[in-house]
Amino acid sequence: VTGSPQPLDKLALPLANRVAGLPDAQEIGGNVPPLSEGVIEAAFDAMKRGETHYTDRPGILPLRQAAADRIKKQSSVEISPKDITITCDATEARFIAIKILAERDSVVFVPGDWTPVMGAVVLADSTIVAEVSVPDAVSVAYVTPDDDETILRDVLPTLPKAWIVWDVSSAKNQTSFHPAQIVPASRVVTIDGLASELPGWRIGWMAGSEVAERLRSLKQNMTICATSVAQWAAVELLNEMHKESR
Amino acid sequence: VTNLANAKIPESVRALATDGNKLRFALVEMAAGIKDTILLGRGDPDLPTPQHIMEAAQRTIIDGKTSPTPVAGLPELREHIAAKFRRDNGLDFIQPENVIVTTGGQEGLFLIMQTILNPGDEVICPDPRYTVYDDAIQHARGVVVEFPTDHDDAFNMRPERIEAVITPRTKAILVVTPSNPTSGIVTEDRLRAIAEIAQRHNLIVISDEIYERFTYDGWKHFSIGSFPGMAERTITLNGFSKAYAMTGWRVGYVAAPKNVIDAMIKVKAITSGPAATISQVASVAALTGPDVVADFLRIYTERRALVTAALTDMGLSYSDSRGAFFAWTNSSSTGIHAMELAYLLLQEGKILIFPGNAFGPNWGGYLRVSFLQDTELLREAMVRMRPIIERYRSA
Repeated sequence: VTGSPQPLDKLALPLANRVAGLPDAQEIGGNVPPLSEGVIEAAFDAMKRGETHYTDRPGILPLRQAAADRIKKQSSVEISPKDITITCDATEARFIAIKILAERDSVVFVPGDWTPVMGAVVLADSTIVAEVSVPDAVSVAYVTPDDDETILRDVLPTLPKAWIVWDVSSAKNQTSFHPAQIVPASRVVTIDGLASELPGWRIGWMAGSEVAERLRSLKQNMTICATSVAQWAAVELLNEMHKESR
Repeated sequence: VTNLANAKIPESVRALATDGNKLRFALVEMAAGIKDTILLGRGDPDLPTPQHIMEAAQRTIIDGKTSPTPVAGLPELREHIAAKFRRDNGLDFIQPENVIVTTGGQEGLFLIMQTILNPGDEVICPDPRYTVYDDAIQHARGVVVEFPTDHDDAFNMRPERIEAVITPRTKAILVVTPSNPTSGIVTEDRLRAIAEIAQRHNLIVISDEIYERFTYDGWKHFSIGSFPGMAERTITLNGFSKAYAMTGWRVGYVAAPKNVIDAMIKVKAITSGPAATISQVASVAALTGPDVVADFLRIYTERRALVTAALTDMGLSYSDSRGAFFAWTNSSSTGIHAMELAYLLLQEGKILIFPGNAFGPNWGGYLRVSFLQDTELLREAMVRMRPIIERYRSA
């Protein structure tokens, strides 16, 4: 064995070409809202029960049910908990949806803010467009409640091959619109999470579509499951939010 | 072995025979529907996360210090991990900037492959192996190139077999020690020879050391990155899940030259963002608190003795389990394919054991039996297993 050790900051390994096109990491930061006693208790109880091991692959059922309830309340769209997978924040759900659904060298239609998906599109070897000129070339439409609903209603039904990724996780606007109201639900993946309410706990989800199992499979391959204690805390939080809104 | 002749195996499971990941999950889900099944499948320690680790997480929740950390990880945790690499692994040059905290060791693997592999790049991997490596490589459009390891050699890695499969497209060698599923370790002399090959062919070494704390019978773990000339070409992967019974907390870590870590941070910001804050705080407590791992090792040593004695009693041979917490058991004397046998053990004996072909298609004559239940349940599992093995062997 030859070679003499040097400080590692002086050393460099050859990297994949895809890395060169990636944006710098955006740190999240921000204030943490105070936690309710119920959420704290839920987290502590989970630890006491020994819920500190891998959870079921899709995430715990009560959390998937709570996510399904939230989607139904927002948009009257019903998604079975069996088609929901809990992720590490909406960030992971967004990446997985783009990585699985965007075909290589295809186009991802993003009518609004493209920064949340720019990196994922690079890693999927695809390209972002803000307007659709060749509908057949669009493999994914990434849309949010902040987009102009009129445009969504006009454009989405004209994209014959596109999967619709509906990301409500960081939208400023609330709407009862959901793409599954105008295109087949089997083509729509809904993404949401608790980045505002439980920012450091890293809980999100991806829901629905006929490729729910494929999405789940990549999630499992990447991070196996979301933090188990955080999942139980999230159940309590969503249930409290649901009660308050009734 | 037979060719999956048992008609009882559902077609949905049979169809997964060559996809290790899906096969394992299909069996886990099937076991969830069978009451009183003893789980010897998943590599999830049954031992509770130690109290002082949970208390650290509880304190941070009460104090409201749960805001997201930097994507690379909590600075304090990165410092402790770097110190651990220097202290325990001889990786003298690792500083916090050479470390990224990941959402479990498995994510570390995914990030590594995304960061270093161009389409068509080859990664040399041992057979058998945890098949998630294959997925991580394929998601980066890389190519898995296998080399065999043998029962007679306790599934140690043979350097000459690695060198035999090197091509101009080879980018990296994957070293897994101790090994999942075989529980073999790569001995120091072999690691030094692999290091020499990596330098001569200018290759990266990815060293998965997640089971490093669990070795038996005086066998020692060595980190290939500690050998001269290897710091600049080694990416070391580890995590808290196995060592501290923290699988549900999802914290792993990777050490590498800074340009790799910087690139991994960019990829991680896109793929999942930082690991959960409470989990990272808990991980600091794991590294700075009492050495619970030594206690775990004593427990696993006792269980290993129980399981291997029972397997011997059943007439089954197993590879010398020098590390990790599995008995890689040769079941070919039963005359039944391991998938079929695993199915029968689950249905008739209510024991979940993963078949060898969940770790590569060549291993239909093996079972991976984990030690991850208390001794009473392990004893009961062995009692349930014996008549099934004997019945099918005599048939």
